[in-house]
Amino acid sequence: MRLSIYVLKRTGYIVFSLIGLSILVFSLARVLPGDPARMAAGPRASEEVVEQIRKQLRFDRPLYEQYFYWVNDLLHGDLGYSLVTRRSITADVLEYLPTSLELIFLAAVFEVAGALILGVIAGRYSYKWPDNIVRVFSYVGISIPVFVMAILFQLLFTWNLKLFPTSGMLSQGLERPSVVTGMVTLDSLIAGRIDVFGNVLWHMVLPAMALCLGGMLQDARIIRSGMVENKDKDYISMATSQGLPERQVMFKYLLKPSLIPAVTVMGLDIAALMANAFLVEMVFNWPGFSKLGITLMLNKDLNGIVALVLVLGVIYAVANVVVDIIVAYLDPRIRLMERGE
Amino acid sequence: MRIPEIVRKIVVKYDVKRKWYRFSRSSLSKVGLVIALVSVFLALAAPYVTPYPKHAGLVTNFKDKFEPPNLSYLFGTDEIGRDVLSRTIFGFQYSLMMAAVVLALVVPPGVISGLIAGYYRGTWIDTVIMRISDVFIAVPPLVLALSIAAVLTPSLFNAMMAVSLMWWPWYTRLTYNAASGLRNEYFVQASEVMGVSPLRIIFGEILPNCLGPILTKITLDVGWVILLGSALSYVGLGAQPPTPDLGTMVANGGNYMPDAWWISIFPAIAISIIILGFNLLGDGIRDIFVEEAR
Repeated sequence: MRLSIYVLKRTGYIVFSLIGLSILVFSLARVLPGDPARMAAGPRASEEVVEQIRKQLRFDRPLYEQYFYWVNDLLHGDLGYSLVTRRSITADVLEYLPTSLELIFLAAVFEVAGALILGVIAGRYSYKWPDNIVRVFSYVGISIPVFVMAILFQLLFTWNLKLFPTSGMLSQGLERPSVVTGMVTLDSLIAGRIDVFGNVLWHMVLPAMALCLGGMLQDARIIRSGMVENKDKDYISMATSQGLPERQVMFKYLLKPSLIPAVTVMGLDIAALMANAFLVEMVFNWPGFSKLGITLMLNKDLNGIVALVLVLGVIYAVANVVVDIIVAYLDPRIRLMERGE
Repeated sequence: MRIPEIVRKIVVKYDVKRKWYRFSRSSLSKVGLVIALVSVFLALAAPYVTPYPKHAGLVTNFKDKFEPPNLSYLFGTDEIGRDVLSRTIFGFQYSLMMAAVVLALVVPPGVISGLIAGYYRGTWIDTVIMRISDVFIAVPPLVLALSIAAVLTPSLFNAMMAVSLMWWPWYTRLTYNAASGLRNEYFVQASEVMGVSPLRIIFGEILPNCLGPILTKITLDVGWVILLGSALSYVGLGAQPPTPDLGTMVANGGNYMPDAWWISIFPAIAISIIILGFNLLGDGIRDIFVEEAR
């Protein structure tokens, strides 16, 4: 099967799941007891006002009709109106999502780089002490919930060692540069404020590390076992017996096929990063999407929660398609398997 | 001491000795087993083994508030003078109960739907079941669980419902993969040719051969459910105070960091240790079945 057809097929699946997801979250927000029009109007509004809002928000129409109106709005980029922040959810998302994405992006960079380094070292020295250290740490790292990790980091690195700022995004006295992309790191670079850029980065290191450590160690283990497994294969023996330098055998022949399972898992880890960002942002008081999300959730803002799940669903879906494509590119066997052979 | 006949029969029938040998070859598995057993024991015996059983509830003891760890309060005391050690041990009860309830709710529907989809692989039944399960997997689990818990009213019960609602598809997928692989094995085809009913094939022939991965996942999931549950209550969408839930305790202690670090840190470490224990135990159980499959 050609790569393009494979990509189309995967995308088709994802679109299907997203439609299903939209039905799921829509019904979730509608099956609840309670009158949404009354909630929107507030407890002291008169009956007439409630009726008017009901008409205005189309709560008087049958459910399937409401669903289609809602999807229509979604496709036009309108996620609805938040009763908590008192403005359009689209605006909220645009304000808070970029800061989360930059944190997640940094965490992903740390995760991939760390996993590669640790995995290759553990694979190279398998069953020796560097391998054992990575193994023990990976067991411990996977078992520590990410919010616990964040709290431990905070206790150790900010309060005891005072190496990093405790929380927040910028030190006092620094102003957020004017919004262009919404990502503070990029905005500060665009504004030419290197000091702000450095300051933000300094605030990001610890949350990003707490966010990615568990996944990093897990990925390192997967790279390591892939390398150990492939080490005994004939093509490696051949490469070695031809007298190729060890470095070349390791990186050119051994690493690439050993990365394939790790890339698949990293796709799942994107989901983990997105979800865990909720907890880490809470601990470090990072003004991101998750902070918005928790606020909406704790205040039971149905429109907001529904929008939030959908936005994350879309990002997650896109990320997964990208990972699938990378894997299919790395490993032609998967493309062939999809054909059912 | 004489071993009762029935025990001996079970040992022979299920080949317990060999299984134990495979399991116990890794000392990490044994560590996991010990951690799991100790935490279950502590949870069950919490009212008898804790120094201050009354502190599990809403008790105030202001004269001892914010005591750092010392001999009478090994883990220190919280902002209203309750013993953190006692509350942590009671927290095990809630964590393990949550895992037990969630798994009891999700394993049967997940496994059964996976078996059916796997047996009818390639037909519309397969498509319908697997596409529905895809929908639940389209969002990171924690986010969906948080949202469902938020839409319902935050409580321990609703947190369990929320986690269950998004957890079953993982069992569907796991069982589907195992079952659809077995679908074309000779023993399944032979039963079909002999006219055995699909129901009997699914539960009598396919299910017993899928048990390895399912049992492994159940064990590992005890840890993951506890993790997810503690994350929900950490955010404030799970068990509500004064319930001595580990996640709630960590969140509450966060208000008194870094001076009264012990309020947060001990429950936090306790969560991690339980999860570690069940992870190691799950790996040990996987060893039993992986070897057997060879």
